[in-house]
Amino acid sequence: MWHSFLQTLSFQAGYNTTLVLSSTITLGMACGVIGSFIYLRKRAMLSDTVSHATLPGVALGFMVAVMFDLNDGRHLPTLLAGAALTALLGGLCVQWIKINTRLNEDVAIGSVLSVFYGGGIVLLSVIQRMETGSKAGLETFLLGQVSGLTQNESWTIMIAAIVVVIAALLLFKELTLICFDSLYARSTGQPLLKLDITLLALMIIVVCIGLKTVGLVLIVALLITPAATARFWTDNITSLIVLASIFGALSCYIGAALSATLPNLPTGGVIVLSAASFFTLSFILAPKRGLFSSLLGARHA
Amino acid sequence: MPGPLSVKNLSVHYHLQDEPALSDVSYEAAPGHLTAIIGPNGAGKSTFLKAVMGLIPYTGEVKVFGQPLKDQKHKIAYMPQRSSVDWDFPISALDVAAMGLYGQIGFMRRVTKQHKTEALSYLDQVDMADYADRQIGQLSGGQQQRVFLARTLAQNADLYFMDEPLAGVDITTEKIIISILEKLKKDGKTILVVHHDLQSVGNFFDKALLLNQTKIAEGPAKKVLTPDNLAKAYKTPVLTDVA
Repeated sequence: MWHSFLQTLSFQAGYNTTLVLSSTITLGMACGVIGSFIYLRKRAMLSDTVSHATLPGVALGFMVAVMFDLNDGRHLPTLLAGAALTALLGGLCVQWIKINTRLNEDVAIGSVLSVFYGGGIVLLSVIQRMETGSKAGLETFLLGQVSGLTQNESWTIMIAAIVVVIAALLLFKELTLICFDSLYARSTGQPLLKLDITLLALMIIVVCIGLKTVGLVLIVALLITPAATARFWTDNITSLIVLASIFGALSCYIGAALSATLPNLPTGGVIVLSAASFFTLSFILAPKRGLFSSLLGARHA
Repeated sequence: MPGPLSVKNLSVHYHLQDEPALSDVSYEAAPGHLTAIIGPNGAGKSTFLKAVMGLIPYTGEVKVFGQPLKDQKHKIAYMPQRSSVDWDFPISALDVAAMGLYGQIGFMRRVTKQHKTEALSYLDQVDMADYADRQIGQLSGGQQQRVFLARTLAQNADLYFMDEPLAGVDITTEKIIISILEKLKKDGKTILVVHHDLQSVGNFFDKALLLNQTKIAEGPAKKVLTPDNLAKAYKTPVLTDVA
């Protein structure tokens, strides 16, 4: 087992595995970058809603694909289009409830998340009873499974992740401004709403391409944990983003390699546990904000 | 020539609240003057600033240099209340000051070394150049306020809106902020400042606008601050002799 794990880690386990590994690493990088802005904009829970809201879309996409007889229902572009659509709908529902009712954002998030997820579960059980289409496969969207990834899918993930990173870097200055001081940003004429929607769209893309590997239940952890980990090590937003993308990529690298070696391990879970290990180590050891240094600091003070 | 700020029948009704936050305020800002916006807590002072800058919905008419604000954003600069942002944000004093230059730098363009040098000169004006690389959370309240002021100055505007710049600051910061306000005034800029301390209004500001849900009085600071007006604004007699 060790031998094949090391082979995977060193990208020597064949073209297919290497491709899957590279696409998952790129996904982790993109999650780190977008996650940094989501963390700083304090929208972590919104990203959880959005990712759970992809489930009904995946199920609806499957039904549409079956209807048009596309690839036995498991036609990834259709599934992802459905996922993106209901994710966007979920995100907009939260905003609408927050603005137009007396309910707080946490209530809006809690209710929208569970309603969309519940709808998705119901649709999945409808699919289970359908005559046509292969029934297996859709559950992997919940917790992720890299072994099912085809070459085409890997390339799609990689390219989409790179596009997302480039878009975020082009908007670095504007996104930083709205994260720090949105009221001031608007006073200077920055298009706050458009920038927020752009950030939501980038987040939805990352969530959708992460569905097959990390799964919709756990993707929020891959968005937020690397950024939160990076925050222990730096006071500068540029290094925060760089570090978060490194932590995201490393978590995905370890998680994907482990689950490629031991096919019974759910990829999403292993990736999230790797990310959590980096977080815990940083929480304890980080020089200024870590547990040790605050305990030492308290003693000195 | 049209005045820097002309407000007609401005009303603000916050969503789902029974009482209007502001009702029917008409006001012409005195060009080239330093005006204090005063009134009790909850009188709508910050609301007034936010409404005229179009940051919250309002009814009525607001013109900046004779035109709707959306074409004049480059002529205004806003300094929000210090408590409105998270000071733990991973950014340095210099980077915050440079935000004042974003309008000039342009959408999606990068902040260059030249811009950073320029931002540093604004930090220097508020005596904060030595702290340029500090993360903003490590600064004192007064120093944070000065960084905010440097960002506002960097916008190089003609009309300034400042929300409680002098609240809770140390003496050094107060002196620096006042001297900058004086300098802006000397350069012919128009400055509206939400101010909380009635006692110092007469010392720092030449004009005043007294609000409490609606306009109570406006004009030269000393004429506005009569016991009568203050009683009207504060509903209870004000015991200190401020006029």
